[in-house]
Parts: sequence; structure tokens; C-alpha cells
Amino acid sequence: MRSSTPRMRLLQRAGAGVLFVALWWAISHFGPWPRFLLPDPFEVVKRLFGMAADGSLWGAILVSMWRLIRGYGLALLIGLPLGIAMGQSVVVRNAVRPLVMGLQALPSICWLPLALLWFGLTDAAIIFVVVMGSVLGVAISVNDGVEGVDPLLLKVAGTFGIRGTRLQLGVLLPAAMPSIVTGMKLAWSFAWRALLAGELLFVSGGLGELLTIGRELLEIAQVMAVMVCIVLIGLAVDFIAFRPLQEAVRRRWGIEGTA
Amino acid sequence: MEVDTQGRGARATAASWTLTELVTWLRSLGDVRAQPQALQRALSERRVSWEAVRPYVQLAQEGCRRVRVHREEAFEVRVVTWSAGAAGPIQDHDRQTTCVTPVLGLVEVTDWRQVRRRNRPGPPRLEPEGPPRLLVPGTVEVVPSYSDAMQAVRVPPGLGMAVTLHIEAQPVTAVRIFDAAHGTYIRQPQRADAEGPPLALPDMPAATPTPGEAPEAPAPSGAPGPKTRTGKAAEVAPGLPATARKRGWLRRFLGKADYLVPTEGRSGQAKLSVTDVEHSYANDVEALRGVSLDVHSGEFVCLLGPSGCGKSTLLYTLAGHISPTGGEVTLDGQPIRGPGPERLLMFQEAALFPWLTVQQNVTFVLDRRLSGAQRRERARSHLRSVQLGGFENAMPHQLSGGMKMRASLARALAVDAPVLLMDEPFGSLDAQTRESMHRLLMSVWMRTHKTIVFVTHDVTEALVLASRLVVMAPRPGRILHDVSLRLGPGRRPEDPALQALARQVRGMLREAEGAPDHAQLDA
Repeated sequence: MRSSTPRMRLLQRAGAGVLFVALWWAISHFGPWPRFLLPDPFEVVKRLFGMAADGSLWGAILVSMWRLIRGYGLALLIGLPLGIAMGQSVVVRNAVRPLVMGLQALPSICWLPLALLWFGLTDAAIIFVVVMGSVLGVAISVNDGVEGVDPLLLKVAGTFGIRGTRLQLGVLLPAAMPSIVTGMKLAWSFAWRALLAGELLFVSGGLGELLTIGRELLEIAQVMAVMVCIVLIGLAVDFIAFRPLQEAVRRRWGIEGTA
Repeated sequence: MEVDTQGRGARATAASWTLTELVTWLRSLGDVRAQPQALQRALSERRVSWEAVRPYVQLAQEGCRRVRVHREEAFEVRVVTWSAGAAGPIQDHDRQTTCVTPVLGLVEVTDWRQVRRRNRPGPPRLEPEGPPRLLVPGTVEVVPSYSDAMQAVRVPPGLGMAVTLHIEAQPVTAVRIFDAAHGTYIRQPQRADAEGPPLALPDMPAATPTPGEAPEAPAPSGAPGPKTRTGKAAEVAPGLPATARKRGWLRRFLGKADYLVPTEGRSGQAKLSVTDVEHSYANDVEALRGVSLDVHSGEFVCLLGPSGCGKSTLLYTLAGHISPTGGEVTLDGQPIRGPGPERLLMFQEAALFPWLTVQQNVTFVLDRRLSGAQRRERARSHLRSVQLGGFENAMPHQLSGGMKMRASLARALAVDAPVLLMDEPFGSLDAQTRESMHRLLMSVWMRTHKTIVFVTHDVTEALVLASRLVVMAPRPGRILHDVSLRLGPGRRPEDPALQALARQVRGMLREAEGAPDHAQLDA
């Protein structure tokens, strides 16, 4: 495989983007659906700017992100210790791991009926769904990371008499950090999906609500604008938060040959 | 003034002291402590001859051996025999006037001064003061009672044995030794000196002869004095050379005899003791059978053997990472249960924590009771000692293999464990880096006198480093030979003598590979 120069890569990406937009435009103009069911890209972008201008989009994003931060933060707080405990203690591992693996297979939105009954139509219900959607992913990736720690480092820690929390926080956690970051990234996308699924199902004031309103008013341009917005936020978080984090960890840990 | 003239006159007639003359003269001094200049002058004008001290020379395989010549209320005279590379501890002279002069060979004296760190609690630090002074026969080092520096005496690396004469005003009952590990002084009882043949002395200082009169005045040294302590005193007398002693001595130093001699059992408690240890792995591989080994404090033991001979298993047993299926392993008499920081294990790889900088790697493993500043200070000084100054903030992956290993060594040394266990630590390094690591490790060992157990399969490496070689054989893992090396430090792999030894040891290894039976080899 030939490696491409950055300029070539940019050209290829731009080409694919242009092609995608052109195809969308063509389908919306000449496709089987009426224009109001499939607006062309320019209408969607116009709508996106409109919503951004009147402030409704920013409000919705803030509400959704605030929920996401709380839910995801809680998931990390629970998942990290759980993962370390699973990696450290055979008892915890044997008891909890099958349960965690089983529940991981359950789509997080399945928790919504329970959440609605337990917490009512509140933020707490959605946060619960978000937590359930991501906590297990965090736990599993931390567990995998801890179990994959170089046994030599553990022996070194042992010979220096490093035990207890100093071992867990000072050796296990940093040693597992590269795979924990990967797990956090994965868990974040789970949390993001769980959040939108939850918001779609009841009126809540977030991005999901904008989506529902758009569908009910047959404002397909708004629906698609929100979809674009969701994709953009997903990409932005990846680029702003996770890529640099991953890069920093890789560089510090010296995983890539960055001399 | 008059005394001085007489002294010069005396030198012309008798160039050297006998010990009897020396002691008689010391008696005449009265308060030896108050007269450092007299000591200095007397001993630089008249040397103590090799003939005179020879009966008191006892060569140890390593370290130094002190033999008391004479002791009384006002002073003590000792002869210390230093084996090649021996180093004494940093020692406070405890307000004594002390006097050291080599009779044979060279020694090096370094002054150390205590540095109190301003505004910082914690133990004081010692820093060498000025360059070391080289003493040759004929030079006299007198430390007057008012000096508050500490001294360390050693044989400069690469040189052979030395014999020194020590005079201490007032007998020494306890010594203050600076304990680098804790930054404090420990006052320990003076190790009992070996007793040499007693001098033929008149019971009481009959007269108060001046240095000049000494040769004429002393008790007759050959014939028994009026009240000699024992008849053996005659041995000191010139004209009765201890022929047997001389021969044994010559054999050792002219290299006629073996450099490799079977290790003799030593008295005193062993640092590490392995008794009848057996170990079988879960797959029924018998890794060790009936292994017994005593490692004494300050020894550098190399475990050598073909792969599968259980040398690593033995090491990991000492480290506490493996608990053997049979037998007992003790450190200072206490059974070993699990790994501990007083027996530091170093691995084949540097095994630095990759997410910490070089300095953080060291500070992380240090005792939490030290303050952050103390830990950093300690880390920096140890990194400097392995020539990694300036790399404190580098990440491990930015270092070369040799630098990583040095960082790992600094980390191990910083915790100051009395025992270092090393599992082929330099196996993955290139030849040149390896040699420099050997030199580094030797200098560390000579400076700190840690007990080191070093696993290797490289004969040359073992011969360059070890003071004792333990050759093991496989199936089942057991000890085949246990020999001590009578070689000084500063050994080089290309020395012909070392290469000859390597052939000899390779022969042992071949024997180990082919050794069929357990029983026949126990001889």
C-alpha cells in the first residue's frame, strides 16, 4: 500500500465530500421522494444556520451536553473502580464479569421504560440510561487494560514494596491508561447514542426534542439539520477531546516511536 | 630542639622502627593524643619496616583484616591488611589522634565532611572534602584530635593489597560509622581485632626515652625481656622469619596457586541463607533439589550455569517471588515471605515505568516517609552517580538500552536495599555498554559493599564481577561448585589470566551440562 502525502489525503477527502453532497442533491431533486421529505443539502445547511442564529440549536446542545457530561462522568466514576476491582480480585472478577458481559449486550435504550418508572419524566431518567449505556463499556475496557499490564511492571512494583492504593493508582491505572483511553472513547459513543435515544422518546429540551419536533411538524430540513449537528458534535468531541488525549498518552508512554 | 637533633642522629643509625621500639617510644610520649606532631615526625623520619609487621599480616579474601599489635591505656597499635579493592567505611575518628602509615602498597585517604542542609530537616549529608590523598610507605597521615573531618581509607581501585600501621591514642572501643542509608551515625562496638603475637616489652615503661634514645633503650627485641607475656614473643624477632607464613603469602600473591579456591565456610550469621531448598513447578519439573547456600554480607555471588539449572528459580526464591516447595530461605535469620524492598530484584529488562520521567521513576519507589524535596534530591544524586545527570526529565522510551539499564540501577540503588538480586540484568546490552555497566556496578559494590547475587550464563561476566562463583547444574537444579575468586577489582575481560580462568570455569560448566548424577558430585 502506498502511503499518501497529507495533500493527497486532503484532496481525496474533499473529493469524497463533494461527491456525497452532489449525490444527495441529485437524489433530492430527481429521486422518488418529494422535496419536502428529502430536502437538498443547501436547504439543510440554511436551516442549520437559521437554528443557530435564533439560538434554539445552542440551547438544545447545551442541555444535551450537560446531561451527557453528568451521565458519562458518573459512568467513569463507577466504571474505573469496577474495572480495577475486576482486574485485581479474582472473586470480584468471577462474580461480576459474566453479569457485566451479559448486560453489555443489552442495548441501553431498553433501560428507558424502567428508568421512566423509577425516576419519572426527569433528567435523572435520561442520565440513568446514559450511565447504563456506558458504564459497562468503561469497566470492561479498564479491566482488559489492567489485565494486559506488563507483568514485569507488577513484579517491579512488588519488589519495591508498592502495594494497595499506591499500586492501583500509581501503577495499574497508568499502566492500563492507553487501553483505558480507548475504552473511554468507545464508552463515550455509547453514551452519546443512549442520550439521543432517550431524548427522542420523551420531550426533554435537548437535541432529541428538536428532532422530534421536526418530525411532527414535517420539518424534514430541521430533522436533517439536527442529524448533521449530531454528527458534527460527535466528530468535534473526537477531534477536540479524544484524539489529543490518545495522542498525549501514546507519546508519554512512548508507544509510537516518537523519539 | 635538642630532641630533634637527636632524632636525626638516630635516623642515621637505625632507619626503621621495630614494633617493640615503636611501642616503647609511644609509652614515653605520655598523652599521645596531645602530640600529633611528634607522631608525624617520628614516623616520617623512621619507617616501620615490613619485616617488623609481617607477623601481623593476615590477608583476607576481601575487605580488610585488622590485627592488634599492642594495646594499653594510652594508645593502641594495629596492623591492617587490605585485600585488593578493600574499602573501609567512612569513620569518625571520635576525637582521637590517629595516625596511619602504609608499610606496603598504597592506600587512599579521603576526608569527608558533614553538610547540614540549611533550613531543611532530615539527615545530614556527607560530601568528600578535597581530592583523596595517596599514602605510600614513608608518608604518614595524622589526624589530630581537634579535626572534625571524617576519613575513609581504601585501596585505590585496580591496585593490589596493602598493609598499613595504625596508631590510635587511647584504645578504641567503639567506632562511629556514618550510615549512608539513614544519614545518621551508628555507634558500633569496634570489631574485635585479631590478636597478633604479643610484643616482647618490659612490663612497665621503665624510662621515658626520647625518639633518639629509642634504639639504644628498648628491651632487647630478640631475647625474651624481663617479663615477656609469652614465649611466642620471639616470633617477632628479626632473624626468625616465619617461613611457612611467608610461603603461603607468596603463593597467594605471585599467582602460583589457584585464583579459584573452594569457598570456605564462614562463621557468623549469613546475610542470605538457603537451606536444603527444593522446588518443583506445577508441571513436575524439579527446578531445585537440595540446594544450600550461605551468602555473607558484602559478597558478590554469581550464580552461573546452563539454562534450566534453576539459577533464576533460586534467585526468585531469594527475592520472595517464588516460595519453594521445600527447605528454608532466610534473610538475617528471618524467613523470607514474599518480595520486599530490602532485597531488591533487578530484571533482565530495565522495567522502568513508561509513563514516568526518569527522575519520577526513582522518586516513585522511594519511601513515602521522605519529603518530596528529599526524594527528588536523592533521585538526582543517584542519577548523577550513574552518569544520567541532565536526563532527569527524559522519558524512558527516549533513552538507549544502556541508559535505561543505568536508570534502573539508579532506581534500585536509591532505595538502598542491603541486598541486590540481579537476573541477567545486562544480558540484552551490547558488549561495550555491558562493560561500562560492569565497571559501574563494581564501583557501586566497592563503595557500598552491598550483598549482590547475580545470575548470569556468561562466564566472562561472572569472572569480571564476582567475588564468589556458584556453578549450578540442571536436571535437577543443584549446586555443583562453589568457588571464591582471589582476584582484585579492575579486572578486564581481555586479561590473559582471566581468559585462562574462563576456560577453567567453562570446563566446570561442561561438567554441569553433562553431569549425570547428583550424588557423585557432592564431593
